[in-house]
Amino acid sequence: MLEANHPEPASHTPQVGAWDLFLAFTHITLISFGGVLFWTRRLIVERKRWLTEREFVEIVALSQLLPGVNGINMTVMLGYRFAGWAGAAGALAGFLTAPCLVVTAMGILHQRYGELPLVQQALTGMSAVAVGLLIATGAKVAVVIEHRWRPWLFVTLTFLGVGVMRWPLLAVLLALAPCSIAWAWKGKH
Amino acid sequence: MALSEIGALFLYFLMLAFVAVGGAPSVLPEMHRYVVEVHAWITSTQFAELYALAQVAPGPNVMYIPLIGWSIAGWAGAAATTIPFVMPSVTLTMVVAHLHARSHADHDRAHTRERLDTDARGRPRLARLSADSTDGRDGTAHFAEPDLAARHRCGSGTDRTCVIERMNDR
Repeated sequence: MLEANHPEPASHTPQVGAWDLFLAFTHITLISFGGVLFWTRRLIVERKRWLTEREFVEIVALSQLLPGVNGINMTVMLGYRFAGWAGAAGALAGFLTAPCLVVTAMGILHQRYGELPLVQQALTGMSAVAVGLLIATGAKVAVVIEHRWRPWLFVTLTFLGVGVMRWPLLAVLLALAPCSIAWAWKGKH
Repeated sequence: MALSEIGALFLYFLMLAFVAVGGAPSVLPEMHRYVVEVHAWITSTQFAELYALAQVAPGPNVMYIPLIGWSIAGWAGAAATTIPFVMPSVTLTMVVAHLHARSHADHDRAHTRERLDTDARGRPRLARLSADSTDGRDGTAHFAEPDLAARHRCGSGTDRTCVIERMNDR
């Protein structure tokens, strides 16, 4: 693995190419119902041993700090780590291609059979679950917000603007975000 | 669907990508407003059903974005929603991954140098050499080089040269 007089002993990353990454992430994405993180760790760290636990945690932490979809950020970071730009592209393609095809197939079936009573009932049930998940996500975030009136004022205003008045999100954000940030900044100084 | 509408869809989802710092669910109401209320491309019920379908499907939870795009304008719609929504954060992540990898390489290099300049007890190597070599020759270049190669070979290895090297270190 490591040559005797190699000048850089630090790199012990196994040889993983873009195609390996494409296949690995296709595998991950097709078995990962619910959470991607769990299955990625299982495959990359436990089964394939491409990374140690610590290296994996470091990459995941970094990818969660970045804006956007966490799963996609993590995929790109892992791909880049193994095979540079090509690795990132391969991993991302693997991560998105198969689910896109699955979801499109579902869309076709939905168009064709969506009106059947049995399918309608199933869809109503699934929608209820999806709404429940959304509310749970919102509640999880809300718990973190400080228990003072000022942050909650902005929570309420945003909800009223977007949820009740149905104003465009961008306009609401542009109006409220500067006030909220300025207010929080003034409170600290 | 006209090409200009596909273009509008593309630009709209590009804007959403920059607003969706809190993740994909944070722009769901806005997407509903635009797709259902402003343009009436799909009904509210369809929107909810497509969202639920995508949650049931394997893969990341953002798959409702290609699905909604697809049901509005077929494959072109799926591409015009997914690509702009994903590209900004992917680009940023690639830049960060690149910088991260580079800073790691720098850190490792500095770390290796530091290790080579001191012996096992953290004393400067030169001091150890002058203490050990009684014949008074200048051992710096002579000793440091094979020692360096051996340490690289060792890592956590247990082969004979390494064990001998470690004994010499004591």
